[in-house]
Amino acid sequence: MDVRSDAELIDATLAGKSAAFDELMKRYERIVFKVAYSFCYLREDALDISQSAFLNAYRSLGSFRRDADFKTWVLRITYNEGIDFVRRRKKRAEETLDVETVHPAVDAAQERELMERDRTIRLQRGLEKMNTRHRTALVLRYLQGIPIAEIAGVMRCSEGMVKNILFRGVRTLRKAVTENP
Amino acid sequence: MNESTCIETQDLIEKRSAGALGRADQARLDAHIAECAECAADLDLVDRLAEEEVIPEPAELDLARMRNSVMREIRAPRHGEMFRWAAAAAIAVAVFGGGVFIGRQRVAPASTMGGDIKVKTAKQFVKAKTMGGEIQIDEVDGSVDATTMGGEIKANVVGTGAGHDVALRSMGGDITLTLPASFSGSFDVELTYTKNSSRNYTIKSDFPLSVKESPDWDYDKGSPRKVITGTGGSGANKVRISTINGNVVIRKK
Repeated sequence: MDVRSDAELIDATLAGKSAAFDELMKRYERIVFKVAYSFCYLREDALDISQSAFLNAYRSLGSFRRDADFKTWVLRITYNEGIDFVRRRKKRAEETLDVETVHPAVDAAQERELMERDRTIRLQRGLEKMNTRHRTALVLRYLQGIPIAEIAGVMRCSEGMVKNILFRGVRTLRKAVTENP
Repeated sequence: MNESTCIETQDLIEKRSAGALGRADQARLDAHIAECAECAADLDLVDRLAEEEVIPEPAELDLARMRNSVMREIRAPRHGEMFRWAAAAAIAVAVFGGGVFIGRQRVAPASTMGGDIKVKTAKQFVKAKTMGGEIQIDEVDGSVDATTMGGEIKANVVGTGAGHDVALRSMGGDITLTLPASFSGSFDVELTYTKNSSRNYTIKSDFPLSVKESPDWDYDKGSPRKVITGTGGSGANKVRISTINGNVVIRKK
């Protein structure tokens, strides 16, 4: 069976065949989820962000420029949804005068033990503590293998800026991983 | 080691990640990291990011659930079909936007890609659809089927007996229906309101209806929402009304 291109699926969706959009979602849901996850570090929230991103993509599909890449476009929407999510969460935390915590509280001794036991956890925690922009760039580039030009499209900045963010991001993450949490 | 060299090395690391590092570049990279512990550590970190599962793979079941929620929003039949046309509207409104006015007609089918629809009088039936705008039907002696993606609907049905079915749907806006006092039919009204709305929407009817409100917020369809339903009546005709974030008023005349 022929695999339909993104453009064909978009045309079919706009013609009222919503199943075509389901196919588009299946094509990009994993990468969308991972980018969403990089903003919240909670599975349920990442699914909510992904859902909002796809719904917004559907609603805006008519304005999608055909010379652009659908994947970059939907990731940009996800990125924006992620930024909104972080803003809302920050606002909620301020309103409740609560310190934002993403994970259940773990005391310092337990956390040190975890860190030493598993370097992946250390890397995960390091990523979580980074600022969103650096983290998302690292996730897109090194976890998902998205080319720098596409990341620039997602983050709406120059390729030079993406390189700079990546450079700083790697250094910041490395420092977070090697130093005591 | 000065930073500009390190930045150049970052480019080489990038090329390496993209699988585009030639032999000469590989040699430059090797030479640099042999001297620079910082860049060697960077390279190691980049490799680890690519190899280790620092962001978990989503479960198939979770993804299917997420897709289903999106598709429910898109495909929701009749009540709450907010998005299926939204995409089309986004394309077409600028091109076809404008109102439709229909004077005296036996039947009145009308469709616009964005704009108001006004029908003065019609017999037999009115079928009107707009991707965004108000629908006003001053008088119809027959059935009505009116849908707007966003806007108020006002319809005045005259005449009695069979053949006066009413279907009014707005994806956001008030709906006012006027019926003859002797109108005979069953009513099925659905008013959905979202958590971020003013939440003070009501169903008011001169015809007796049993009105119920869902106790809990439904989080499965995008914005959290509750539904108020109004049902009652019996007879030859069917009246179906649905709106989101709008009031419903049914009057006797």
